[in-house]
Amino acid sequence: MSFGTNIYNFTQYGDDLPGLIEFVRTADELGFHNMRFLDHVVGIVAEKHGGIAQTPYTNKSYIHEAFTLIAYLAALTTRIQFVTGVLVPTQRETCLVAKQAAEIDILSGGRLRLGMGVGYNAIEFETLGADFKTRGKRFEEQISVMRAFWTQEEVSFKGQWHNIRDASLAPLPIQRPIPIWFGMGRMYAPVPTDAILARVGRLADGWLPMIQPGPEARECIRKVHDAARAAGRDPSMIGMDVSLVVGDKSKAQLIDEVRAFRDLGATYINAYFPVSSPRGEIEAMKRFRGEVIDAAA
Amino acid sequence: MKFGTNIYKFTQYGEDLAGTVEFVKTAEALGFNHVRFLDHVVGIIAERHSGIMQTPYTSKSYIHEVFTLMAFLAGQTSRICFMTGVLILPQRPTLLVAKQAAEVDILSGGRLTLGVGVGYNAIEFRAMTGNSGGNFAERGTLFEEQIEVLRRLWTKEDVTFKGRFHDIQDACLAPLPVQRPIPIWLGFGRRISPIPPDKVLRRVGRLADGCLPQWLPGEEARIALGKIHAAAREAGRNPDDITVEMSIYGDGRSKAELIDDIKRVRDFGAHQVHIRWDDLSSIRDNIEGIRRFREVMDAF
Repeated sequence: MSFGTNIYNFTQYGDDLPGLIEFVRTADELGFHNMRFLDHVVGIVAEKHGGIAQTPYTNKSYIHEAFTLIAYLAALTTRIQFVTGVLVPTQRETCLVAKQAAEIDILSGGRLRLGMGVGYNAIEFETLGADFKTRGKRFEEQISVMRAFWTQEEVSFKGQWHNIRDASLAPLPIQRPIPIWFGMGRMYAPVPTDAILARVGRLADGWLPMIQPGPEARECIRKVHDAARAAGRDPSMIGMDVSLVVGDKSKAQLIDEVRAFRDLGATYINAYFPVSSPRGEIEAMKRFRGEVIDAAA
Repeated sequence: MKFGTNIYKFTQYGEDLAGTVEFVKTAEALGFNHVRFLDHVVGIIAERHSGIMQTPYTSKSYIHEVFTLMAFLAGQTSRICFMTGVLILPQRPTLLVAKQAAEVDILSGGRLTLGVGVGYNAIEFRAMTGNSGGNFAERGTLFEEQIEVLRRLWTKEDVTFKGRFHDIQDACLAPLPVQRPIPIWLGFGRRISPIPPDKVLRRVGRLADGCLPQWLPGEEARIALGKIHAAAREAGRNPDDITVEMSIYGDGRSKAELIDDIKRVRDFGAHQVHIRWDDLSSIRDNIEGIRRFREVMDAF
């Protein structure tokens, strides 16, 4: 089991690119396994849309574009893995997602893991000219197209949404294919629908659930594993990257929670530090590294 | 006089990322103003697509994705500017272009120029079905609307736009780019047929911050540039605000000849010069090429 963290809170710190860079470099130096990056292409002026359900991200959020930011950081780091958490391919163009992911994989020496989700913000879809209703099915087709591009030198694919004939990506990525993990659920509503869990079992290399240790989580895992077996896959090959809210919890409590996640079968634990400042986040990360990670091992 | 160069030929040399980085850093150290980067998202297995126009770029060409490559280079350089030469705008989704260009501009501290073109490869265009819409034949119309949307997104904190291909209501980019707006330059023509239709020349005059013609100085080119300037005046613009960058070819030319070539394009009306070579066969040769060219630059 390895540890990662994320830059989610940085959307609230305004214009501080040097602070963000230092946070990521510090994580790299401290031996954190991975760093998650969020994706929103366009901001929505929330009050003009009668409020938008369930999003912490609006036009005031300072959101760096995920792929270009990762490409930039690839040159400034050596070990840390970059994880999109999550990218919404249904709002992007499939070949371009495949191409840019391949490029980042090359630039970083194979350090990309692609966390992807179907998206939830209908206004974003409308603004981007992407269909909201069909996003689940389209997502699945996109994954087939991307994996074909990452592994074959000649791709032809005719589906409901794609029409590709004798085309390719050159260069191919280092990882063939780049791992695709599915994101789902929210901190306050962590249990996904059965359809989403089944999709993980059928198609994903791993998942990024928000579930916390307990009977509900075990039930979710069982459903993923059942779907994997039904699809002829080995459930033990599906990784699980869970979220741990650090907050102001005591060292002892954090160690307990880490161990509970380990017992649940987590591959990675993503630490969510409290909102503070870039400097505060770096301090929180150092504390977590010193007080929790080694002690819980 | 500002000078630029490019990495176009690197697509034929195979995998050498370290060499590409070294080339760009060397160009920066030598005082080049910018490097041009090409754009193709999918490669086309040319022999199976007899219908597409002659292209030097196929499924065998090793093409780095342009926005992520520029972002990667931004953190390893400090002065040299990045120019897409050219980004095939109609095959990409407009808002994502706006967002990624803004991000590269931020990461580089305002060093991006977005060279754009309508593209010529229908197969690649059709493969990219999640673009901003329209069919290949309509891409010129889509292109003009995209430019309008890009400029609004780069300058306003609340954008509403309803056009034929875009329906945007109260949306924005945050953060905004350093350059508001990022300069948009238009590329057009091919080396074998460098004079584009009048429609394209008028579009440059109406819309472009700069242009990247493939023509060499001459009577036809002079007439074409005149049409660009006339269209600019008609649109209430000052023709001098449209920067012209012309290419010169370094193959087999002495220092004195290159200086003459540059004077010729300068007298023709070019503000910037782009040096390129056809015959070089490695990144190493390109690095040597720009090193030698430094002496020519020093004459200006």
